[in-house]
Amino acid sequence: MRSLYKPRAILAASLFALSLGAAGGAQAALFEDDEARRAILDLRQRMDAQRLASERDAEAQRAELAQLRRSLLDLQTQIETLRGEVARMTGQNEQLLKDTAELQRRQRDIATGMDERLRKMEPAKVSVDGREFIADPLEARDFETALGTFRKGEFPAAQTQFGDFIKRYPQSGFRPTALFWLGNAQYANRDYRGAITNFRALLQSAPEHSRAPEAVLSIANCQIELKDTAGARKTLDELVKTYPQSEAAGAAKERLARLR
Amino acid sequence: MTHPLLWRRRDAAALLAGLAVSPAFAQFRVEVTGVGLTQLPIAIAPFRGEAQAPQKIAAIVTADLERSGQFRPVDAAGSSLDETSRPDLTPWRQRNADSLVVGSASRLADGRWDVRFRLWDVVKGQDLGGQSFAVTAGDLRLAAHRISDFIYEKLTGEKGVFSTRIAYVTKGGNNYNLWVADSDGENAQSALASTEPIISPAWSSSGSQLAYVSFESRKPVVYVHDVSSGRRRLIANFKGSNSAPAWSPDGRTLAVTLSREGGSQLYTIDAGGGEPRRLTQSAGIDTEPVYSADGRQIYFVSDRGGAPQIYRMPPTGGNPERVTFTGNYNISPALSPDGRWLAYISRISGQFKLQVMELSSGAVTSLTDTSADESPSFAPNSRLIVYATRQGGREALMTTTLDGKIKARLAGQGGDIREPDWGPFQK
Repeated sequence: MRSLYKPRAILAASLFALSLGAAGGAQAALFEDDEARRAILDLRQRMDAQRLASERDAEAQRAELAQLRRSLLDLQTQIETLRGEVARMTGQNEQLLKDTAELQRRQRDIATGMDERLRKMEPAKVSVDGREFIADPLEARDFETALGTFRKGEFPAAQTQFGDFIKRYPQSGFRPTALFWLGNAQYANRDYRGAITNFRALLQSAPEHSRAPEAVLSIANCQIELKDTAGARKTLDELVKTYPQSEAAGAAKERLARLR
Repeated sequence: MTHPLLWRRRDAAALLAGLAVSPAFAQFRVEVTGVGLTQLPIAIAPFRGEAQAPQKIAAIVTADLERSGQFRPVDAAGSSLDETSRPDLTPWRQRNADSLVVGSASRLADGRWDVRFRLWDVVKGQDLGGQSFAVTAGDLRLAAHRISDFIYEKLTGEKGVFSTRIAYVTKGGNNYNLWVADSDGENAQSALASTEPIISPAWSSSGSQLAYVSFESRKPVVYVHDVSSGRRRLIANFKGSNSAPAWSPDGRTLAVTLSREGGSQLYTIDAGGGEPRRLTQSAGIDTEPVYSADGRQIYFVSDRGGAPQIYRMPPTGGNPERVTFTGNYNISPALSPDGRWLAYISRISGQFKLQVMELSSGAVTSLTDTSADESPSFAPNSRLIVYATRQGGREALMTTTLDGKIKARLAGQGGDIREPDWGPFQK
């Protein structure tokens, strides 16, 4: 707007200058008509130029304004789009959070289930007759099965199961105990010679085993059953000598007294 | 987007263009449409003297028990027993009834009615007790509902909801009415009549007050209405819309949806009125707040995730957690008083269906075969849901058991009937 005032200011200034000149010219007749006309034409020309320039300015500004308006609308649309986008992503994020939580829960469940199942298959520490060793779950189960059979008094089956056990797991930590119960099963089945062999195998492989004194006593019992009194006495003597502190040694002494 | 007040099947424009049918309120009837697995067979003998009484006690009790889904009525017509009889239970055993109700209604000298009854265990031949009420003729229905409550509690071990009340809104011509009715929809008393829409009635936990939104000043404004005195007070009348009031369980606070700062957002206001406190800050629409029974959560609907879903957050605001994930349009949450269930409306292939979610597992069950369900609300014993729907071309209020197996229609003959809210146990 300010530029619109400019030509008028210039015009006023020019007219003022003109009137000054005219005032002076009364005496001096300084300005000829032609000169004045030229000046007016000149002024008019300048005014036209100014007007054109300001119209161009205004036009440019209008264009700029329209441009601004368009970009504002553009921005508005972009904001709306972004808002929609954010909502969509918020929704997606919520869904993902929920899915993640669900997956975590399921994974925990699976891990727990897996652990439980693996535990059934992984070797674990077992403790038998005062000895600790690592055993396969299957091995431990087979041993417990055989022992269960023995405890039920099913001695022929127990003999088979302990025999199989010793064959299947020659390196097993259960072996001495298995030999002991195998011997006992055989004793019950009146297989005294077989029993003696297995008790001896126990003594040979694990002389310090907590079942060893009982195994010696059992050998003596087998010998008595086989009417080998001399052998039995010898075995009992050995028992008293080798394991003097054992409970079995006490029993051996009594037995010896009776045998003599 | 959807109507900013509430997401609902019908917006305000639809409210204004309803059918001009005047509702008839004396015609409520139980229409059990499902078959329950374990229903107790019960015989309710006509009460001696009830033929002279304005209300048929035995029929009301029978309808109550049938609607609960837990009982199957056994025909007892022609019996002439009352509470003083020592009935021969053999014929009832032959009719396969497990229980028998006998009673009487007699007019007292002062014009009141003396209603008495006794409940018999037919199988064991045991007297399970009885009660007597001296009531005015106007309270005979209430006495019948109390008898139903006694029987229900004796035989199921849970409290009955028959003597509780339901609020709902009807539109007849250009007249809107807010009603307070018995739990069977009968005995409706108008709490407010207006020529402008009334929506969103909500009972306070004491059952003495109703909050609702009225358009009587040509814009949605929240009022709290004292049911016994009829006095009411303005709670929220701010710039923009004021809608969806919900009571906190202690009755001290109301959660509302206001658009005073632009978009629809949740606020809380003291029940006595005052300056609202803003709860949510979202770019979307947050509305339909409802408190959990323990007061620890506010469930609400928001489209912050791009589509309306149900969220929950602490009642003082805070980070909302999304609750519904099945489907992309879930609105109108209602929580069971026992805190186990969330009922809501889901839009499933263009149909609006009542759903119930077990909150502990997130498992969702669809309860209806109708397609325009809205406004679910739980009975105070958490065993039934009342909701509005369109069935057989008519507006209807229905109740359903939580497994959806037993439904009963409470609606009268036509007319617009909607926005039910089940009140609390009567103190």
